[in-house]
Amino acid sequence: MELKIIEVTKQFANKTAVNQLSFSLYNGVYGLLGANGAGKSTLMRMLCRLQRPSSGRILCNNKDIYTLGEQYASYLGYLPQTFGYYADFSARDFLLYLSLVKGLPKATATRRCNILLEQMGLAEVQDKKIKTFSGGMKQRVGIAQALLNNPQILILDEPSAGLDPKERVRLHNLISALAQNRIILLSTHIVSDVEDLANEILLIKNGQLLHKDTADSIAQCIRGQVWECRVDAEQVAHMTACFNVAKVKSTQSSVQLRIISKRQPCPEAVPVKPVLEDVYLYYFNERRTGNV
Amino acid sequence: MYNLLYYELRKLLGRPFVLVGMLILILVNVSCFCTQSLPSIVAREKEDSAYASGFQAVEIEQRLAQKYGETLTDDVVQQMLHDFQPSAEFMEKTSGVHTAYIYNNSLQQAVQYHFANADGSWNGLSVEQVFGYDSLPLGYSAGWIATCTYMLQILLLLCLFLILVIAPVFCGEYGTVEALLLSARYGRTKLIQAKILAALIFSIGLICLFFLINFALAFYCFGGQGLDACVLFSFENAFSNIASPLSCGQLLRAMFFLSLSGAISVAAITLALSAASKNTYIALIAALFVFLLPLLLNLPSHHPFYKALMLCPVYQVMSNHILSADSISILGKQTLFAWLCLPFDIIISTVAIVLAHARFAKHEVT
Repeated sequence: MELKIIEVTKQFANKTAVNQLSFSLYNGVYGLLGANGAGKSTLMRMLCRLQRPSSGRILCNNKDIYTLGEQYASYLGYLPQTFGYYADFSARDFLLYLSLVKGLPKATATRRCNILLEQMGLAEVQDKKIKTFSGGMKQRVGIAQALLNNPQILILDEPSAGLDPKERVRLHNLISALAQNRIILLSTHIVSDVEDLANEILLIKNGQLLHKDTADSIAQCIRGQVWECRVDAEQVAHMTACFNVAKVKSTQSSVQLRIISKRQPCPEAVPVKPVLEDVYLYYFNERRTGNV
Repeated sequence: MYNLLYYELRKLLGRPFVLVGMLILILVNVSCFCTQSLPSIVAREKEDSAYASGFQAVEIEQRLAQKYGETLTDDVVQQMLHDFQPSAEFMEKTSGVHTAYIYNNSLQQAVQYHFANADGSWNGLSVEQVFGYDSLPLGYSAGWIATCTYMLQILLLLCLFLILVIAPVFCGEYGTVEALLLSARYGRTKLIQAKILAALIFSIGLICLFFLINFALAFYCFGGQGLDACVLFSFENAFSNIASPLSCGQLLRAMFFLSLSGAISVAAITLALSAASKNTYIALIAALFVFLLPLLLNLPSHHPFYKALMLCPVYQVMSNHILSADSISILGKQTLFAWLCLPFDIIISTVAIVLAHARFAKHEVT
């Protein structure tokens, strides 16, 4: 499976949400990182044919996704950032209904629903109305519906939102298990969610692709710009005002800071190995990038 | 497709307000029947006998109708005028009020309304002069006419209810489940067909249900005897001006088909507005406006657009108006103007459904 995005732009009335994006996705897990308004959700919606690109093309196995029509939709599983449900539907009804909209035969739909309700830990509450569910349970229903048609292209927009740590681990394991023979694209604000999981990270800012590489390779692009130092408690306010501080850790006698800066922030600061979260802060907390 | 249709119907009917609304409508219908039909019917054979009500009154009316045979002719008119002639003593008491307004039974009232002077004497008009036909089917029609009359109000309420139920069909998904539906394989094709079909089935079902309820109630009370009687030979009522000598049965059939086609048009227009609106409130207000606007225009009957206005769904549902429009000649044959509704509705419904389909299929999630 290959998904090719060619010079895709999405222009709204007074904003360019996605600007001339070009990249290709093959089987594997891709993490989409970017701040709010970076264009992640718009890109995902265009990949799901929910929004038409203003210009550019999206090809699936070298065929335009709009030409492929229903065939492309049958490859697709999508979890939007937010989604509604029908108040009077139980989890089971909701999944059965969506599997019919996805074109599954009734017997297959029933079988897939049973499997996914079990997999998502919803089997015991399958006949309860969704309106009685907690946020995490609703999110699990959302993930289950995305997997109903065993999609070859799985697009998950903030899948771990509302999940507790145990559920997040379960989701990570599930995504890892599904990663064979399909494209999985997931967006998140939580860098650690994609750091271990994704084969490649796509870093997006202002609708443009900054990086598309492995987490380690992307982190290397700010090598020599991440520092750690110990300062007195009184100095913390000054340092956070002047520098892009990635982490503050208090100890009994002092405070340990992790700073992203092009220059050495203080004489005691030592350079450390950057990680993906540093890169995220480097690009998306640029107000103070150490040019003081 | 059938499974999708089942879920779409369930979504339509599963909302608590739909069931509550239907129950309220049934209650309103039954109360209309009680206040405007059987229990309100009273009759007596002569001015000096006591009034009977309910089933006894119906019995009196039916006996009288049978007495004069099955056809209204000039001879029958003369016989009736003679039988129902009020006494001089009685006329003195009423001090000049037209005899037609002194109620004994519906047959007396009908004959005196059309063929008598204020004192009950013959006004000199023949059946042909009054109705345009030298004879008319005769029978007890007042019960069925009362049923048809209150049904006009019920049908108007049903259409308003239909708009309320159908308005969220498409726009109710916007901002909630739209992304899940439209990214799915059949989200832009079969799902739309299922939604449209469900809305149409609901509309047809609702109209049929209420016709069935009212037909059953009326048939239980009045029997089938008056169904052959001509609607025109009656005291002034909502159907006094219809352009053809329809029998009560024919009137019911015409009302049924007109309401059905009107309801289908209302459903189709509401679906199109639902697909084009951002939310349910906008769709609801727009659909109510489109449906009720022709009533607000209130054009006089000589206005060039009057007949076009009559084709609007609201006038189809309030079918006494469109049935009163002059007959038209199609291929040299005089036909009720109301039948023009059918091609008009087919066109309107098809266009609206195509628009609804296209609008939802091309909807972009924001």
